[in-house]
Amino acid sequence: MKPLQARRIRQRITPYLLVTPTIILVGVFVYGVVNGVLQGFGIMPFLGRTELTLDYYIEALNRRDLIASLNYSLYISLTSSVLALIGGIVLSAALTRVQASRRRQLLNIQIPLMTAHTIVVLFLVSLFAGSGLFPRLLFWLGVIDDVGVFPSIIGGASGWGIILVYLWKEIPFVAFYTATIMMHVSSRYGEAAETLGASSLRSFFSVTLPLCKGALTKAFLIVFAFSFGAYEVPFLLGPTLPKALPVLAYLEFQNPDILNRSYAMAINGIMALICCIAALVYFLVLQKERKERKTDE
Amino acid sequence: MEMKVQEITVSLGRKEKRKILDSVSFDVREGEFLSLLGASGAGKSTLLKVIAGITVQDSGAIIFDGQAIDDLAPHRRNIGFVFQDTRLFPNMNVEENVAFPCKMAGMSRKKRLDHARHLLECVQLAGFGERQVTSLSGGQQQRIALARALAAQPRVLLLDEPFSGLDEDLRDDMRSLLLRLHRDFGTTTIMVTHDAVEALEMSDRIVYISKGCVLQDGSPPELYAQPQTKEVAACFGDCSTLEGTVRDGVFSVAGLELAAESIADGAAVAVIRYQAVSLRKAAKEGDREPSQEGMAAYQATRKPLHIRCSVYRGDIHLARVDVEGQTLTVPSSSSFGPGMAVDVIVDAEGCFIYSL
Repeated sequence: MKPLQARRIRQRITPYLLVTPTIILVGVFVYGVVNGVLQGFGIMPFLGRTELTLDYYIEALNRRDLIASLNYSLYISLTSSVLALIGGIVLSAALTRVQASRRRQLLNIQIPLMTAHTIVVLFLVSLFAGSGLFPRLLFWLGVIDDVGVFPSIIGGASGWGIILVYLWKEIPFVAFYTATIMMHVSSRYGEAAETLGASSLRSFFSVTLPLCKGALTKAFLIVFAFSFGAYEVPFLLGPTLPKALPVLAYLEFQNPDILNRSYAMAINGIMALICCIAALVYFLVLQKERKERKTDE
Repeated sequence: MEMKVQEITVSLGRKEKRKILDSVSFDVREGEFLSLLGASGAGKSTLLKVIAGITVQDSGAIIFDGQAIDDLAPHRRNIGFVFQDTRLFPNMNVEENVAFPCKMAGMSRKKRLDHARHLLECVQLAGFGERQVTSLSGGQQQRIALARALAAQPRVLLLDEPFSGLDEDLRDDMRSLLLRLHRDFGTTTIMVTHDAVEALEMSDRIVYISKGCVLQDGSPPELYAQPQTKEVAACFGDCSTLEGTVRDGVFSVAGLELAAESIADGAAVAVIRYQAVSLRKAAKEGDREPSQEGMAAYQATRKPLHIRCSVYRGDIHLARVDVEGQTLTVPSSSSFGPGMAVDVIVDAEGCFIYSL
């Protein structure tokens, strides 16, 4: 083979070799999703079931506790996402004003991001459960008459423990996601606004925040989709009833009757539909931003 | 409004402090158009940011009408600032951008939008109010930025290289517009530029800044005709810089001799503007005229110099003359061939000599 031809072949093959690991990973993911969706429609060839049916979806939607579970999951995810958004904006705004080097600031907020949710659950339980440090401290200070008066972090219908665990990770995530763009917008447009008579606060609300709207919306959608679909925290801290939708799906999945798996997958399908709507909105925001960037150019 | 910049010093860096501005002082008279001229990195933009309150100085004071304003936040200084990259707010249309300072000042919506429309007429962009800023050209955006900076009737208008991002023909239009606005509004104006010709054309006064220090402060003719340093002399471009020595009032290098009265003996540098120098074919040894000191133009070569090359520049040719490894560039109507022996005629008015 001539050296020039060999070089040409190498050049053609290299991109495919480089994307191979990604293609394998995506393939495994897509296989899992397709398999799950098909199972939701009753197709499980390994059990000899090959006919498509909507029975499991109909059964899942007619379940009495499904709406309560859906509402509870929506309540947890929406509340934690809105609070994370507010907290993230405040943290991001604070970071833009701090004079420390950018890398150091971002590294600092990555520490909560690196902590696993289950570790945070253990940490918060040891702090806020009935025998935890915080209720005992309040009792010792005389603020509460009995440690049992303190609202329970485990099993409470308000789900404040679950929300608190999510906030531990989601506030830094929103800040991490938006800090770079906010720093850029603030140093460019915020500075201009201040020379035109706007105080720091007015400059933030009238210029910086509106210009970060896209990044904030995207961060909100990510944390919403995550908290809506995550199972381990509501499983550990959630109430007996209503159960969060992912917990419900997990319990059905764990049923010893393997035929029940289709039913679990139908519940998963309902969750996936809501997450797909969030993904679609994310895509629309992204498209809008790309269009605006093109106009700028 | 009269303004004083008093011994402003700014250092940047955490471990190793680097002085960006070193005791900079000058005055700005009411309604004056002052240019801060200097090369990139001289500290001009930092000084403008200190005046605006964006950067806080280490020491020194900014005084507006006899009152120090150093403790005032930027939004309380009532200044107008035009950035090089315009920084128009993309989340607002043209009208809202121009009206922004009036909104911050608490003006009612109707009043501020009327005022914005009037300003848009002043910058020849009437009817552009509803447009999005991203749909405008660079020149139009810079006009909007000017209108926005003037909206709140600032005490001083600060311009940070406002035209450097524009094409040359657009720049000319913008300069005319800015001068007309300055005449109409009478706002005290400070403009940062590294373009010496722009500073000459537009300013009542120029402050030349280099490495954080003021090198010269004077009217445009003063800076052009009596530059006090080599850097100021060379900043107007189209000049050659030659190093040599001064002895008994004569600067000499490789047979080139220039009158250098009142310059101390020793190493020196000569800045020779293109228009102050011309060439002629070298005369024979016996016909060579001696240098005529004190005359406006004189032959400066004791022995012939040689052409290194000649380049075409449209209406003229530029002859590069070899001066002991240094280059003297001389404009000429005809091309000189490489190696040709020439005599150099120098006009004293465009030739400046400084001790090194």
